[in-house]
Amino acid sequence: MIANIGDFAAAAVHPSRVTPAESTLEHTHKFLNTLGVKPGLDFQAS
Amino acid sequence: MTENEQSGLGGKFGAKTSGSQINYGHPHSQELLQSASAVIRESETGRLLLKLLDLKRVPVHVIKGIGQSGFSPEAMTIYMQAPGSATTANPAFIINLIKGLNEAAQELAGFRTPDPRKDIMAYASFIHGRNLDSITEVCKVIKELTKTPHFTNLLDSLTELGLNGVYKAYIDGKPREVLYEQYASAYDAMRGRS
Repeated sequence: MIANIGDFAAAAVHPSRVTPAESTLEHTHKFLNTLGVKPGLDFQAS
Repeated sequence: MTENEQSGLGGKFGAKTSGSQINYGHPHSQELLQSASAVIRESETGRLLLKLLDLKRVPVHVIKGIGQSGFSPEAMTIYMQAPGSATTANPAFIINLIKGLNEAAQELAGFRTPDPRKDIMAYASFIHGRNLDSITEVCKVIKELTKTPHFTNLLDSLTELGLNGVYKAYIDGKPREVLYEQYASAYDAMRGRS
C-alpha cells in the first residue's frame, strides 16, 4: 500500500515537508450516501 | 462486453486479445473481486465504498502481476494486481481495494488530483492527505470487521505493510495529526530511512 505513495512526484516530497491536505472523508461519505438514492443527483465538494 | 468495457465487478479486462496483444488481464479477476468484496461488504463503511462498484461508477481492472495496485486519477480506474495463480483475494488485495475505492470516491466527490507540474508541494500535500484518508478508511473497515474471522489476517497484513502504528493511533482515537505522524513513520520504514 505504501508503495502507492511511490508516485514519483510525491516520493520526491517527504510527508514531513508538507502539511497534509484537510481530510476529505466526511465529504466523501456524503457523496457516497447520495449514490443510488436520487438518480442523476450530482454532488460537488465544497 | 469487450476488454475496453470493464465496469464494476462484471468486467473481464483483458479477457480477450487478438493478434500480438499480450493478455495482462487476470484469469480469475471476477473471483478475486468477488471474494474481496464479500469481505469488505461485511463492514458498514465497506458497503458504502462498494456502492462505486455496485453502481458501476468506477472500473476495476485486475492485472496479473506483483506490482503496485491503486487508483489512477488519469484513467479514473482502479488497477489491482495479483499473481496469475491467485483465485481468491488475500488480505493485502482486500486492503488495497479498500484504499483504491476510497481514492476513487474522493476523486468522484470532487477532490481532484492537482497537476504536479504546476505546484509540486501542493501536489504532495494532496497526495499525502489522500493517502492518510485512505489508510484511515482502511483502519475503519478493519475495525468494523473486528468480530469477523477476517480481522486477524487483515490486521497482520496491515502490520506487514508497516501501518500498525496508524491503526493503533486510529483505535486510540488520536487526532489526524498523530495519524499523519504514524503515516510518515511508515513511509520512512518502507523506504529504509528509519
